[in-house]
Amino acid sequence: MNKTKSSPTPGSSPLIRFLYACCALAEVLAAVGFLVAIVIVPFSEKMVASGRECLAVTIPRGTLNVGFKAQFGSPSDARPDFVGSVSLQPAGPAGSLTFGPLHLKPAAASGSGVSSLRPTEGLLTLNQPEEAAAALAFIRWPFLLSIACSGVLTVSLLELFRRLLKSVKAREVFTHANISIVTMIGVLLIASCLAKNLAEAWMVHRIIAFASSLPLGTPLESTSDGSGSGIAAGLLVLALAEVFRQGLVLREENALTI
Amino acid sequence: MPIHVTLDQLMHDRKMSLTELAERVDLTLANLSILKTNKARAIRFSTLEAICRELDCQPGDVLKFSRD
Repeated sequence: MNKTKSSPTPGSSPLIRFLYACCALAEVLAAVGFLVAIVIVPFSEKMVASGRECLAVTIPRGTLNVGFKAQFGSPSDARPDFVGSVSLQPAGPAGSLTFGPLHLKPAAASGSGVSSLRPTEGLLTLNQPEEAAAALAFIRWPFLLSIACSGVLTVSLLELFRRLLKSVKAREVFTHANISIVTMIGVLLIASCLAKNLAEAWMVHRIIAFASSLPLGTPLESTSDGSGSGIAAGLLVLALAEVFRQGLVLREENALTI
Repeated sequence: MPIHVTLDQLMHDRKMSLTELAERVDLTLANLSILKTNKARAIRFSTLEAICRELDCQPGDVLKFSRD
């Protein structure tokens, strides 16, 4: 016969507990990193102008990537006091700004039937501290907006995922709260993908406008590659919310089966 | 719901309380109460079997159908 009296809830799987711990830790680190980035950006202009910092801002395939080397003591040839973003090391000298990838428009063909070059990509490095600082000031707001979009998205997603894992740990998976959480994750993924793409396109457009006044010898194209993976992921997660909704119906049905 | 569970009358005839029946059929008081007040959506055969065994009756005595 089925035992229907309440029994102690069995423990959740080690994977769920591990993921929950990682999620909680990642959320704290992401929040701290986001706050540090927001605070450092306004100071970066002054530090680049004074030759204490070099910055690299790249947006490969619609993903903002920022790296910097900073010297907080007296500027010298000594190693930098702080290096940010291990995956991206700025290659320019102190007081420089590297930005890219930018589309380089090839020169127009001289006559019909002549082979032509497809646009290529390149990194723009401004080596003069005054120029680099001016460029940073020019892209300040879209830069802050890109960082804000990335930071807010990451922290929000981790918080929502942590709450979902907490309910899975407590064996309360199919609930109204979790349906709301999963729906919100889907909506956040779509909205932030759009916001990030727009912010990054705005930043590329601004830097192109700034660079157009420089004697580079090569015309630049104001294009940026957006990423649509966030929209696809968001739609899949919204479909998953429907799965949770149907799970809730089954759970309620089962709860009232004596 | 057109299906009604007539536990009240059967328990009254056998002078059995809800608590005692719950213990005998191995159900919680809450679940038996859900059954008695016709809030349940379904009943397992094992539960029906236990109720019929303890109340010494047929399933048709426990479950009644009415169109209204």
